[in-house]
Amino acid sequence: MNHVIEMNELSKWYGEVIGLNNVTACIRDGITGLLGHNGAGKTTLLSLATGQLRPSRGEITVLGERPWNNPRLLSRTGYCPEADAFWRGLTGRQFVTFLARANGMTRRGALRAADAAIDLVRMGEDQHRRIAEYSRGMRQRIKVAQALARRPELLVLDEPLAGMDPVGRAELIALFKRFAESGTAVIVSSHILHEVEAMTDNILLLDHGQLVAEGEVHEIRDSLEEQSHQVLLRARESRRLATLLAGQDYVAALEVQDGQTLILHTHDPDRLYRELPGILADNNIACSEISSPDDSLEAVFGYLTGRP
Amino acid sequence: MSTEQTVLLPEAGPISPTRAWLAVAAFSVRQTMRKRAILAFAVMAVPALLGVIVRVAGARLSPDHMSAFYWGTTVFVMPTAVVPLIAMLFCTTLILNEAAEGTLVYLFTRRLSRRGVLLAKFAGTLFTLVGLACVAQLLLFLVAATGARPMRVTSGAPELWGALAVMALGAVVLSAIFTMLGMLFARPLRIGVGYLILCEWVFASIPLNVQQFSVNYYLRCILVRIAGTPKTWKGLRDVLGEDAATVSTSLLTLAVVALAALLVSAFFVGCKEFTKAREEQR
Repeated sequence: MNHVIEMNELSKWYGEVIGLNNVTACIRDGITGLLGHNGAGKTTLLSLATGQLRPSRGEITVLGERPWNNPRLLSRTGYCPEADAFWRGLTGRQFVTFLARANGMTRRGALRAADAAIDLVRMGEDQHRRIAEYSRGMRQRIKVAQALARRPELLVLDEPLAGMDPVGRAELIALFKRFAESGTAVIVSSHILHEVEAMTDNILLLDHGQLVAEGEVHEIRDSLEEQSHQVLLRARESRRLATLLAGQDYVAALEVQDGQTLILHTHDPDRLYRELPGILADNNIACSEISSPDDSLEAVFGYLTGRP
Repeated sequence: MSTEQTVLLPEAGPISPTRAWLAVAAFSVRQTMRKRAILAFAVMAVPALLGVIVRVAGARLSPDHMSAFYWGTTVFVMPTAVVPLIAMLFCTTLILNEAAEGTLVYLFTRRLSRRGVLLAKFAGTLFTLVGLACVAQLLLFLVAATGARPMRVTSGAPELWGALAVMALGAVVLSAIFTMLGMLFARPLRIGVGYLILCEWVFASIPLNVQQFSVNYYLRCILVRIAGTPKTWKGLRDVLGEDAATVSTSLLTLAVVALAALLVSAFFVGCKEFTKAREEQR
């Protein structure tokens, strides 16, 4: 996998306020979710990656080049900013076409690219209406269209799904996946966990300007050794099962819920999964479900940021 | 780029920074008139309205008096008030308006350097401003040169093309200065008003060497030297002092000022951060 963005001790501060603090990370091909609460530093990182800000310290390279004031590089990236900002009086088509032309395309090429991008985000019917008349979801789509129209090698999307309805979200997520599959690196920022979870397992987690975790969600979860893992078991005889498991040294805590659900905390999930089938078989207990609720992004996020 | 993506989007075709520059400049022409258009038109119409008032109030004014009025308005009102006000309204916030509205990020992530974006926006805006200044001058000329007892286009009444050229020159220089103020200061409109009052109005009115710190002094020098003074005025000395600048000195000074202001603007746009992320973090 190629490194699309490399950050080395990257910091950005605004006077006394720290936007990003000493971040060293690599973003590779495919889709990467940039996750964090509001003010975590996501937009700062994306602004650094798209040359809108200069690092206060450290270095960032995008596709092997420094992005600050580098139009040649920026013309290879598509950026969908977070701000709900447009020039007054333009229709969706005029907006996308102008930005394609401002990228140096010919008039005909820009029109063709705009039409194709508008079709991809399913705005064909409304492209001739003024953007001021659009719903928030439509404005998000047209912003995404302008980012796509230049056939980018890297798509940088800052909260692209904000304000969209569920159908629109699903459509855009599917579109981002198509682009990723076709070889475009995609970076999507969001503070909504399930959005990112629907797109990728590969995340960069920011909190208060610091990189808290990076990589696959399950790998990150496994690395949190001091944090006990939760395992959910559904069995008719959950109380008997709880009694049997209570004596095991790898079980840290047990909680029986609604008679059939047992929540178990363990520091050694591998041993639990290894020994549990034997315990169930020896005691003739039927178990209908075994799952790990804290292997989800939400749980990992909560553990890492201390804000469940 | 993989084959699959070719299906998703058509070939981008050849990419040219020059085309990008022209697209941004053309877009700026369009956008300029959307902002503060009413105010700009009002300022532009002032000289012609003055002419209408003079015609209505002084119905028996002789052609010589109309010439003097046209001369006085062209030399004192146009370069002192109309052209600077229009330039200030549009150029102080050339980049900052886009930054405040969040649209600058679209332009700064294109196949165009920051300096290229600034110069394209400047060129597009200037095109509109030169048009506005020339239309204002043309309206004034039409009011003075038509109707009952029109002025005589002789000495003391700068011929139209000369006056238009000087107004266009004034628009270029003042736009460059106000663009520079917009790059240097966080609240450029206030600074612009300060510059306008101090340099273009106060300094320019004092018959001492401080006149030379105003752009309109040089514009007036050119106008008076190419057109002379009407009979009702004693001459150049009466208007601009003993040693008024020559046309070539004025042109050179204005060219240097405009170029310096543009260079400063280009330098600052290349190293300044405009993103909203900065404000949000604060």
